[in-house]
Amino acid sequence: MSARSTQITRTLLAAGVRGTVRSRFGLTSASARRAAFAAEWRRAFETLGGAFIKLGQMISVRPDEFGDELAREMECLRDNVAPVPFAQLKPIIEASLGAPISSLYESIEEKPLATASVAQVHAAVLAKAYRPVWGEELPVGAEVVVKVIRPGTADALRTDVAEARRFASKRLVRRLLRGIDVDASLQEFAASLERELDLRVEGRVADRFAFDFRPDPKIVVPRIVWTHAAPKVLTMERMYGWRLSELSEAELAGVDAHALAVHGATAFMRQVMLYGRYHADLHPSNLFVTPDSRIAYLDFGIVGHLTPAERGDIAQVLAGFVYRDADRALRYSADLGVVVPPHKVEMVRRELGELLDKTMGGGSTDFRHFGFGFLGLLRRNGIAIPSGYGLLVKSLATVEGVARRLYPDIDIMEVARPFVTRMIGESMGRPDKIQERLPKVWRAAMRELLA
Amino acid sequence: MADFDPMKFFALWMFTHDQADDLMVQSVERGSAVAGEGMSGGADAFTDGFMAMVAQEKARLKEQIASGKLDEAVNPQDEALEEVRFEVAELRAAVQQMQTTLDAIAAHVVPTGA
Repeated sequence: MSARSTQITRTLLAAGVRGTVRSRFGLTSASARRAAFAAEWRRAFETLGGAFIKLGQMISVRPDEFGDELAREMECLRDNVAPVPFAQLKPIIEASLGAPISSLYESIEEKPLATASVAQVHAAVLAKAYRPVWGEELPVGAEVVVKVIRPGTADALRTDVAEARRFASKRLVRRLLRGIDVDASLQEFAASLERELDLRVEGRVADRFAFDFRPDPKIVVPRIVWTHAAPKVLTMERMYGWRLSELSEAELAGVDAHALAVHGATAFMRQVMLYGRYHADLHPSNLFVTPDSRIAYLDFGIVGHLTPAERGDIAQVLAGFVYRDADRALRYSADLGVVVPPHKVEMVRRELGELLDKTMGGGSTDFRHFGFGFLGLLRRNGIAIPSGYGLLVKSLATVEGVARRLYPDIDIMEVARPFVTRMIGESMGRPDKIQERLPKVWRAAMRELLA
Repeated sequence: MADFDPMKFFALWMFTHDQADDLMVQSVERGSAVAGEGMSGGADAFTDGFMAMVAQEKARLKEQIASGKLDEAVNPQDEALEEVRFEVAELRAAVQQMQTTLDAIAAHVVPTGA
């Protein structure tokens, strides 16, 4: 057994024991027990670092699979890693880009701007002008940031994933994690980790977002310098502003917070329902508010993809939520893979209707409460939740949280209502839809007239 | 069958229109009251919300006609051209990145006889 393997086993077992004690040996309520264990798992993941930080981040966006308590707790996960000295990163940059740093950048700061478990970010100044995929040219002297994968990270993360797989195969762990598809989750996690270890993937997503949002002057995405990019190094335009997590009230006073919150929420709806690509890791640290009141998107580590058919179905499901129409929401959820067995349809519809009335009616709405309540309802009834569906519900809840940081009184459903209504209205005019629906319309009209 | 009575026919036609108009106005009113407690929710709520938006669109159209400034339609060809431009720019970026990789490999290769 390797030293790392022993550390993982000890840390996780200790977390399990502490969780058992904190939940008074299972004598507390089920939700208090889950919360106690979730806090211990989070601390253990922080202690273990490496792939466990990434695993925790993945869990935080999957309340459908791992439960609300654990997902919420993992949102608080802190990436406490010490910065790597620049002297260790310099050879990686030069070997990856095939040139001495002095010919690539006019200057580069040795002190990092940001440090995380996978990569470290340094400010730099471009030595040559660059024409990006979209947007204006970055001139000589343009301020950029250089993101570098920390040395040894890839091997360490892959070792941790192998250890996590070995650990997850133990019978006791399987029993503790019953109800969770551990193998599929680890498979998905390993794949997302490999994507994250190649920074070019993030660069391509950023370019596509910049293109998608080209008509919107309020949204800004950093431009990528592809001549200075490799799997382990990514150079991109530097963004100035405030991370949403750092925005003080005084700074908020300088921007039109309500307009910005509405715009941010609408931009997310556009990603989901128009472009079919959405930023699925929209926590407040990944968003900047620029001094000229624009929203800058950063870190495209987790991105959701949707087909045109899925986009239409999502608009309908969202319309079902917004207009408190449980039938519509369930009908189109089935097309997205949320299949309710016939004998449970009536019960699920009733429970969903009650949840909609409780959380989405009578004044202000609470999508987070509703979304997680809905996922819990499906789980309680043993209904499988496709990963994309869970990710989307969580993302919408996060968008609500992010928008509320800007403007606490924003009602996300008020923003969504005209958007989904227009989307569905526009799709109604499509010839294929008309051809599909007209016979039904005719039969329904005649049935009413002749009744 | 009785003879065709144009008066009765037009009266029926007018009545149908009146009824439809009343129902439409009621739907718009319900849909406009969607904020907060105004919205009843349920299967018909979407239709009402949709009709309220149609009424807003009608008001906007009326204003535009009155001012003589109609929206310019987006040319689908321009959209397609932009998409192609983006794809070409992506290809250019991919080639540039490959060149960087080649440079990096070349920088590591020690020339024979050196």
